[in-house]
Amino acid sequence: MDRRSFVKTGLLSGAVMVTGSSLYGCSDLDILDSDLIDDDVAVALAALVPVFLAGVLPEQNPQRQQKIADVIAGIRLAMEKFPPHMLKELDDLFMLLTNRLTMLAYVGRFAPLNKLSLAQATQLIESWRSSFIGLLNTAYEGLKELVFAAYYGNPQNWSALNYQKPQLGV
Amino acid sequence: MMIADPIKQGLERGWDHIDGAKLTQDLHLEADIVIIGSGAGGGISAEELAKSGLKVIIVEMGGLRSSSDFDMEERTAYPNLYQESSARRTKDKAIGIFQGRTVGGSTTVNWTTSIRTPEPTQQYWRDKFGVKLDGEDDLTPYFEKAEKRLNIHQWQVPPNANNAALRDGCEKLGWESTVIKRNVNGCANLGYCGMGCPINAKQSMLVTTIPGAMDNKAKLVSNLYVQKLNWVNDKVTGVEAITTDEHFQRRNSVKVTLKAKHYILSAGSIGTPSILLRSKVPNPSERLGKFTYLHPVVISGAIMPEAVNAHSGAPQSIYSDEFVFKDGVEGKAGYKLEVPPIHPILIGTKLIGYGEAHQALMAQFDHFQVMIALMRDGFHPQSVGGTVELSSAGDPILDYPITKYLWDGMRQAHLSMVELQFAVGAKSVFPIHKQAKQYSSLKQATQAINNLTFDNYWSTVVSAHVMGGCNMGEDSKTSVVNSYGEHHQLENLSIFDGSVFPTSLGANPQLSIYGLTYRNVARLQRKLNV
Repeated sequence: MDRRSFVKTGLLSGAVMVTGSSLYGCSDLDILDSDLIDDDVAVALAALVPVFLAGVLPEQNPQRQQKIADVIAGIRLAMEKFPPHMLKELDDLFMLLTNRLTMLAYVGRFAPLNKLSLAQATQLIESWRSSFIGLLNTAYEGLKELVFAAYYGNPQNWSALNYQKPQLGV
Repeated sequence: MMIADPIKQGLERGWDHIDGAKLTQDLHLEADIVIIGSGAGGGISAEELAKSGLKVIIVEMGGLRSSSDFDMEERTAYPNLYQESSARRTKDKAIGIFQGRTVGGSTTVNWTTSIRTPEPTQQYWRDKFGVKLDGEDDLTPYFEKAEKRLNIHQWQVPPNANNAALRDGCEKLGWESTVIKRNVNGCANLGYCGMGCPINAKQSMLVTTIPGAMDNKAKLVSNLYVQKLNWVNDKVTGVEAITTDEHFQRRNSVKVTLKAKHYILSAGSIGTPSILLRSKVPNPSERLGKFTYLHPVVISGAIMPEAVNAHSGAPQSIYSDEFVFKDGVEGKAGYKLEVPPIHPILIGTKLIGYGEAHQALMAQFDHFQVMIALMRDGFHPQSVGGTVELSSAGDPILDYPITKYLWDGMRQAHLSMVELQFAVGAKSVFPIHKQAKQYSSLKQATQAINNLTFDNYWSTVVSAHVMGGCNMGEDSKTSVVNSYGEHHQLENLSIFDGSVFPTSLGANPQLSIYGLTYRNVARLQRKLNV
C-alpha cells in the first residue's frame, strides 16, 4: 500500500493517532518505493513554508511560489538520504498534515491546510510550537529544521546574511 | 591552481577500492583482518596493520568522497558526509547528534581540535574500572606518535574573532584558556572543516592513514552496511553485510560476506554497539550499548558591535577548561567552553522561533558570536548516559534521558557563557532556549536564565562526541572489552574506537582514540606475531 492510499483509509489511522498509539509498526508501506513528497503533501507544505519564512519570502508571485517550490525541492533532496526510521517518522508527520481526521483530532479543524489564511497557518504552527503534546512539538521542530535547512542551504539566499563561501584557486 | 586530490590520485595508481553502490552481484572476501569503520580507530588500525604485511579489508558504510567533492556547502556536506544527513537525534528527539558517515568517519568532518585524554579522566578510569594506563601502558608515547603522524601542533595563527572573544573573555574574567592544537598541514584558515577540508590541509584519516593503508595493499569497501558478525563459541567466524545505493539506502539484493583471522570494530559509539546487538553476542556484563555518553552541548549566541564572521577562519582555536573539573571529577556537572563555526544551516536550524523574529536575528548573522558548553557526562550516579536500541529495521537509536544533574550543570553553563559574552562587549545575548529572549544586560540575562525551565525541548541540546557503549575495564562483570580493546568473550574481536571509553572525556575525542588505538593495535600486532 503506498502512503497516499494508506492515508485515505483515514478512519483507521485517525483512530490510532487519537488513542495515542504511533502509526509506526502499523504501516507496511514501502516508503522508498513511493514518491517522498506526493502532491497532497506538497500542497500542505506549501501552506506552511510561508509561516516559517515570513519576512524573507518575496511578496509577489511568481517569485514567491518559486522560492516555496525551491524549499520543497530541497526537503525532497534531503529526504533521499534519510534512514528508514526517519522516513517513517516523516511519513507520520505528513499524514498528520494531509489527513482531515487527524487534523480534526489534533488541530480541531476539518479543513485542509491550503484553505487556511497565512494568519491561520501561523496560529496553527504557534500552537504546535507551544504544545505539550509530544507529537505536535516534534512536528513543529521537524518542519522547522527541514524548512530552514532547505532555505539556508541555498546560496541564492545567502546575500541577506552577508555570507559567501571562499573562491578557491582564483 | 588545481588542488591535488590524494584519493583520486591513489585510485589512479590502482588502489583496491570497491564501491558497494556499484556492485551488481554478491561477493565473498577474505583477509587477515577485517576492520569495520574507517574513522579515528579504523584509520589508525588499518595503516599499522597493513604496513606490517597483513592483508587488511576496511569496510565503511559511508561513501568514498574526497576534496574534489568538498564544495564548502552545507546542503552537500550534511547528506553526503554525516550520519542520517546530520539530522540524527536521540530517541526522544531532545538531542541532535553530529557524526561522520563517510570514508575517514568523523575525522573527515570534525573541527580539528586535538586534546590528550585529561589526567583526571584517566585516573577515574584506573580507579573505577581498573583500566591499565601506567608503565608500558602509559598513553603518552602513543599520543606523541599520533601528534607526529597527523602533524598536531598548537595553532600559531591568530584566532578568528569568534575564538578571540572566548580568549579575551577568559582573560577579563580570570578564567583559564588554552590555544588549541590542530591536526592540519598547510591550513588556509578557511573555516569549512565541518564540510570536509577542500584543500586536504586537515590531517584526517581520509588523507593520512587510509592512503597509508591503501598504499600497503589494503582493500576498501565503501557503501557497505554491516548487518552482523557470525560467531561460534568464543570466535567470530564471519561478517554479513549488504550494499547500499548512492543515497545510503540498503540494497538487500546485493550482499557481501567477509572472513578474517581477526576482526576490528571501529564503527563508533552508536555503530559498534548496534552491530554487536544485531549479532546477539554474549553480553554477561549487560553493559553492551549502555553507558553511552555525549558531552551534551548547550549554546549561547551574542550580537557583537563589530562583525565577527564566525564562519571564517579555523573554527576552533581556543578552549576554556575553567569549569570542566571545577567541582572535582565526581562533583557537579562540569563543562568545557568552546566556540563552533557558524554557517547558515547550522545556526538557522538552531535559532529559536520562526518567521519574522527568526529572520530579524538571522539578518545579524555576521555579528554573531556563539559559545558552546560541552557537559562532562558519566562521572556521577545521576549521569549514567544513554542506551543504544534497535529500530524495527535494525537501525540504532540512542535513548539518552537528560537528568536533573545535567540540566543543573547546563543552567550554570548558560550563566557562564553570557557572563563571558557581556565581558567582551556583547550588545545582547540570546541563549538557545525556547523560553529565552534577547537580553541586553548581564543582570537581565542572569535573572532570566535562573528562571528558565531546563527540561526536554525547552533548551536546545546537541552533541558531536558520542563515546562509550562498549566500555573497557579489567573486570568482565563491569566491562565489554579489556584495557586493550579485546572483547572479553570473543577472542578474535577487538574494539578500537570511542565506544570503549568508560565515561566521557571532558575533551574533544579524536586524539584520545588515536592514542589508545596506537597502543592497542601494537599489542594486537605482537599477538598476531607481526
